[in-house]
Amino acid sequence: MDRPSILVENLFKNYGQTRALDGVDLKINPGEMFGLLGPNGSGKTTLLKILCSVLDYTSGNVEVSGLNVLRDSMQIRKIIGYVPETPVLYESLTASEYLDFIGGIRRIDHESIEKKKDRFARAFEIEDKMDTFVGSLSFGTKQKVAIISSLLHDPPLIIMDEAMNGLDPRSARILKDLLSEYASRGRTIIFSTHILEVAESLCSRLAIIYRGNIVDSGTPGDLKSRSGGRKLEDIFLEATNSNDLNMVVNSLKETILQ
Amino acid sequence: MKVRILELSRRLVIEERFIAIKNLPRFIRRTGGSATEGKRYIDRQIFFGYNVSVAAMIAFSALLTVTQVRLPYHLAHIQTLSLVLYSYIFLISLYSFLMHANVVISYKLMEPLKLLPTDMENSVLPLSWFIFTGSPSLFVIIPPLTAYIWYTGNIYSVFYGITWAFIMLVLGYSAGSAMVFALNGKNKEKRHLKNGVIANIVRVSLFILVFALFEVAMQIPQEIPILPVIASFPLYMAVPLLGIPYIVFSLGESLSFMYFGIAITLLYVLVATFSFRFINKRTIRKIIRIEMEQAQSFSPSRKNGKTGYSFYGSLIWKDLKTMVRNPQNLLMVLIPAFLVLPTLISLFFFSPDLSFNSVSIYYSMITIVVLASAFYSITLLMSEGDGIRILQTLPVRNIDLMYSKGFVGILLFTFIVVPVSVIFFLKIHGNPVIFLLFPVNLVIAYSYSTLFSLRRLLKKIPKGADTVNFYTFGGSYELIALFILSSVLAGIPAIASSIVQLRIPFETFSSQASFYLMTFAMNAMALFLALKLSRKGLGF
Repeated sequence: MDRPSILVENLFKNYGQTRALDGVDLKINPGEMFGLLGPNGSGKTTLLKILCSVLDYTSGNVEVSGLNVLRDSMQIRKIIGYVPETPVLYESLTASEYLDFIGGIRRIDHESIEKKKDRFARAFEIEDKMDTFVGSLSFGTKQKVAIISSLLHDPPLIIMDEAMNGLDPRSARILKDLLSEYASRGRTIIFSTHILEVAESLCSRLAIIYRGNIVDSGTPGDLKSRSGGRKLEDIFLEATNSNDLNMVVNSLKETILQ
Repeated sequence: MKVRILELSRRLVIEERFIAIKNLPRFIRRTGGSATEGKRYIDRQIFFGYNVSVAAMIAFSALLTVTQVRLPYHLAHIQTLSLVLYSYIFLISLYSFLMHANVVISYKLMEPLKLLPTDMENSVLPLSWFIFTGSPSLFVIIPPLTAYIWYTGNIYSVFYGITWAFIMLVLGYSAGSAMVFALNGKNKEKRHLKNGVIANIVRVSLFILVFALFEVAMQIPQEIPILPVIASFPLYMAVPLLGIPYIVFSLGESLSFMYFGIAITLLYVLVATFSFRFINKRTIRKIIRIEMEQAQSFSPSRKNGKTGYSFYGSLIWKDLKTMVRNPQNLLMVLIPAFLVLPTLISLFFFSPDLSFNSVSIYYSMITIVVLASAFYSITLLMSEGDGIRILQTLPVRNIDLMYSKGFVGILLFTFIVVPVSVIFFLKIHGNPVIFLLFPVNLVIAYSYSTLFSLRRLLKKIPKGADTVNFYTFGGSYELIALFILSSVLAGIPAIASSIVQLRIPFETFSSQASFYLMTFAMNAMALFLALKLSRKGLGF
C-alpha cells in the first residue's frame, strides 16, 4: 500500500481563543479526488492552508506525501499546486509576466513555460488577455490565471479552495475535465466547493466539515446510502445543523418584507 | 455628521493597522481572537503611538534648543533653529501623507465610502491623517518657542509660532497631495507602459528639481537673483520659509514689523487654505479612481518581452517591475533622493567652504546610505502587499527574499550614487583611487546595512500573513529603529578610519586616499560578516 498523500491526525488550530479546527482526522490516498464541503467559516480554508504549509497549526500531526508540514515546508511547496479562495496575483504584472514569474520560481525551463502558457491560455480562452495587466482583469480571468499558475509545474498534489468561483460554464467544465484527467493519472486533488453537484459528480470521496470538525465523510454513494438515499443537499444541511431553514426564511419574510 | 466624520477617520486608521497586524502572533496572543479586545488593542496602540511621537518630537527639538541656548547670541541661534524645524514640519507632513495615501490606495480603504450616498471621503482622509499621523510634528516647535519667550517675554511669538507650524503642516499635506495627484497620471484608459514609466520618472525628477531650488534658496539666498532685492527688512519676511523666523520672533520689535508680519501671516494662511482646498478634493477623487480602476491606465507597448528568468532573476524582475510601474512604490523609492539630493546639490554648487574635501562629502553621503537602507528595506517589502500570500505558497525562503530584495535595493541605490559621485569628482578633481572607492564604499555600506534591515523586517512577517504594510513592522518606530541601526552600521567604518587617521601619526595614513582604503577594508569585512550572520535565525 502506498503511503497516503495526506495524513491528518487530531489536528487543532486556534486563532487566539477562537478554535478553527477541532481535532480533524483525515487520510487521502494518491489518485483520489477529494471534496471538502462546509458552510462559511467551518474551517475549510484553514485546513487547506495548513496542508499547503502556508499556516502553522496548534497541535496534532500533518503529513503531505510523507513530509511533515512544519519541518519540510519548502519541499511541500514544491510538490503542491494551490489555488486560494480569492485569486491573489501581482496586479502590476501582465498575466503572461505573472506566469513567467511563477515558472521561474518553480525552475521550469523557458520552452515548457511558453508551451504550457499557450495551451492553458487557449483552453481557458484568455489568449487575448495574456498581455494585459492582472489589475485590469475581471475576477473570473484572474481566477483562470491563478488556476494556470497552480498547474504549470505539473504538481503531484493539487489543492483548490473554491476554484470554480467566477468561472464561466465553459471554463468550469474544462477545469472539471482537466482535474478528472489529472486524477486518472495518479495525481491527488483536494478541493473545497459550495457547489454540491460539482462535488458529487467529480469527487471519489467527500467530507463535510462543520465547526472545525469532520462530521461526515465517504464516497458520494456511501453518504447517500447511509442516509436512506436522500439528496446530497439534504445530507449537507442536516450535517451542518441547518434544519431550521424554513423558520429563518419565514422570520425574514415577516421582518423585512412586511 | 461631524462626529461621524471623526469616527470614520478613526476607523480608517484602525483599518490601516488592523490589516497589517491581524496575523501577528503578538496581536493574536494579546487579543485572544476577540474583536472587542482587538479594537481595544489597536486603540491603545494608536494612542500610545501618538504620545510617543509627540514626546519624541519634543525631546528631539528640546535637545537641539538646549544646545543652541548655550551658545553666544543664543536668540539668533534659536531663530535659525526654528527655520530648520519649520522645514522639518513641512517635510514630515509631506512624507507622512505619502505613506498614509500609499496604504489607503493599496488596500482600497476609501472604496466602502464611495458606495455610500455621501461625500464624507473628502474630509475623512485629511482628518485621519491630521489627527493620528500629521499633528505630532506640530509639537516640534514648542521648545524653541518656550525658550524664546523665556528670554524675551515676547508672548506674540506663541500665537505666530503655532500659526506658522499649522501653515507648514498644511502646505506639506498639499505638496504630498499634489505629488500623489501628479504621479497617478491622467484619466486616460490606455497609455503605453514605457511612456507611463518615463512620465513618472520625469515628474519625480521635476519635484526633486523644485526642492533643489528651494534648498538653494535656503542655503545661499544671494544666488537667487530676486532675493537681494527683497533681502532687506521687512520684505525679507515674505520670502517663503526664510521669512518665518523674522515673523515669529520679531513681531514685538516695532509696530511696522508687526503689521507687516500679520499681513504676511494672513497671506500664507490664505495660501495654505487655498492650496488645501484646491488640491485635496482632486487628490481624493483620484485616489478613489485609482482604487476602482487600479493599473488600468497602462497597457504594455509590446507583446511578450524577454521571458524565462532564473529563480533569482524572476524575483528580481518582478520587484523591479512592480516598483517602477506603481507610482506609489516609485515615490517611496525616490524619497531618499528626494530628501537628501537637493541639499547635496545646493551644497555642491554653492557652498564656499567645500574645500574639495572628499572625506566630508563621504560623511554627508552616509546620510543617503542610512535613509536609502531604511526606506528601501521597508518599501521593497511593503510593495509585496497581498503578494506575500503568493510567496508563502511558493518554494521561496526568507533568505531568498532577503537576497533578491537586497539586490534590487542595491541597483536603485547605485542609480542614485553613481551620478552623484561623477558630478562631485568632476568638481573635486580627486585621484582615481578616491574616484573608484567613493561609490564602491557607499554601495558596500548600503549593502550590509540593508541585509541587516531586511533580515530584521522579514522576521516580523508571520507565517500565513495576508498582507504586508508599513504597520506590519511597527510603523514609525521601526523606521526610526532602522535609521539608528543603519547609522551605526554604515558609520562605524568611516568613523574608525577617521580615528585611525587622527591617532596614528604616520603620513601614510593621513591622506584622503588612505581614508578610503581603510574604510574599504572595514566595509568589506562588514559585508562578509553580514553575509555570514544574516542567514542565521531567518527561518525557512
